[in-house]
Amino acid sequence: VSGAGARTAAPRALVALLVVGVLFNAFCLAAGSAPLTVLRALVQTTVASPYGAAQLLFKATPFLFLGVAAALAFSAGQLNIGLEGQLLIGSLAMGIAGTYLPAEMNGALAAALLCVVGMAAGALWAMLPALLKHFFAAPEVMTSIMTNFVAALTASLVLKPFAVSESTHTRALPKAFLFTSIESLVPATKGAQLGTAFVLALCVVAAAHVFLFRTRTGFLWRAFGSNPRAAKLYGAPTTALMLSAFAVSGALSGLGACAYVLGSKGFHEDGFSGGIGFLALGVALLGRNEPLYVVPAALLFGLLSYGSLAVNAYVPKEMTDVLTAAIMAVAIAQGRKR
Amino acid sequence: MKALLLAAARVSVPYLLAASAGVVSERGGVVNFALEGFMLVAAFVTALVALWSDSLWLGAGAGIAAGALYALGYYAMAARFAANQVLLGISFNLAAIGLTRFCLKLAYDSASNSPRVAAEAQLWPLVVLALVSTFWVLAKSRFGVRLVAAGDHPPALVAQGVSVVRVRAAALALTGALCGLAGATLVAAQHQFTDAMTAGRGYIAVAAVVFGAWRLVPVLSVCVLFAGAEVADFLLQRSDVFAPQLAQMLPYVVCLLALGLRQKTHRAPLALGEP
Repeated sequence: VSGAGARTAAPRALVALLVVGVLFNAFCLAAGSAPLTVLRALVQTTVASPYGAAQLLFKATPFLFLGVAAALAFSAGQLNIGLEGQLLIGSLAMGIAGTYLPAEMNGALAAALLCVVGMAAGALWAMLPALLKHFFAAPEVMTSIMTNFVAALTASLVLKPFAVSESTHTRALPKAFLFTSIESLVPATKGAQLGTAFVLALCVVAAAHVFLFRTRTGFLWRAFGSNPRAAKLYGAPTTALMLSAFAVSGALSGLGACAYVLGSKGFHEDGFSGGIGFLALGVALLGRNEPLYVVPAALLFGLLSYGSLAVNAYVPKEMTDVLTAAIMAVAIAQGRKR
Repeated sequence: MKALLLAAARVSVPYLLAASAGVVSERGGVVNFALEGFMLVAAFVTALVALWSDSLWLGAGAGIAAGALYALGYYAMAARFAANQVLLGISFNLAAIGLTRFCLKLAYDSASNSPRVAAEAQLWPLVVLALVSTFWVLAKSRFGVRLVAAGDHPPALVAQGVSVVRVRAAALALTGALCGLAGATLVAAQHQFTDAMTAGRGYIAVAAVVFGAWRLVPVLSVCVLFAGAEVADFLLQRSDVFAPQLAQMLPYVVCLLALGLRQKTHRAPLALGEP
């Protein structure tokens, strides 16, 4: 199966690049800037400097977590559109749980514990659409979309008693709990927010790949995703597969919050996610639902995400929102034909 | 009480239009999660043209046209490529959010809203006309029969020598136009365009279509129910009894419950989502 992915991934990337190129030029001209000037600014501020490259990888980190989360759910045939909500709830749980851990606790242990808390919270939230599907045959696409809205409101409601007064974020976690930042290893990247979360995300990618393509359960997931009836006739435990696909997907979305709570910010903040959970669907699609291909897709989305700030002086940064959506549409349009 | 009913009627207008748009599209066999995006693009164009021409009518006309065009773009992608229409719809929504934000920056140098749109004109006669004619088209016209055939059994159309793609494209243009009018009424009600002003109404409309089992009258009744939840949310927010977030959750929770409790006996269009 991974071979088929390799064959089609290359032309897909080319078409995506072409579409992005055309739109990029159109937006630059609409904003009255020379496309080449904007492109130069984009390259100079991202890949051309250690700081920019580190920021790019930092922006790509949540796309890696959530991209893999979406890819795994899609592989098992579950359209989990609730990643955004699962990320928010994971972040909320991490932020609140962190304030209850004793400050003198071992930092690494605390970070690991908080990661587990985030995963558990994300997985629990993902059970909402999964159980509605199991008990009432409610279409998971719609229920999971609705849970995003409910999650945003729930998070802001629950946050209130835990928030620092006059703010919408939880108390800052002790420095010892937070991930190591790259600036302590590479001085040239001073100020960059890249850290351990990125390494953790790559581990998740590798683990997801091994699980999906090298284990028996992973094979059952894919079988269930490509032909549920055949999988059922073969004797696969379809209910368990459906529930576990949602749980794993929700857990990884919740874990994605570590890039913020234990990485850049050091606390949970209301409304921090800004639609990453939706864009991550595009990451998974561009990566053809294969964890390894999610990496380049996440890097591209990270580039656009950080680059948008870099070129804001020339073109409104919202340009990249359209570009990423266009990439997503192209990735879908090149999906498997039925 | 009268004020309350009026409020409910006003709130339900975008739901009614968007949900009938959803019925038209899905009865024709095209899954449509992009209603949200159609509405948003149309709302922006409405505000843009209304501000430029000083006429809400002209703005609404342009908004309707923009909604129809965007919907045709969606159908072009959905029909040409055997794509996952759910995710395609979501990508069109994301593009609509980005596009309207981008244009908002360029046109009004603002990240959040357009200048105030004077909205003396009343759009409600147009709304009534649109709803009645949608009902007529679905229930009485030859096009309605073809539409249902396109959604349930496309080969029947082919056998008659009618192009499935053309029927569906016309359906999508109507879908986009209805969403366009929905967007225009949002601008007329709020007197401006604000960033992401559709606020999930398009998704709720899709839920209404499913809960109402793809039949126009039940679907529209469900919309009134959802609109009632939004009015209740407004009242609860004023009453200070509940936290505002809890009240705002109401429409989505009602929607989740509705999806859980819907009748399983009604079937979806048989060829829904097939290219």
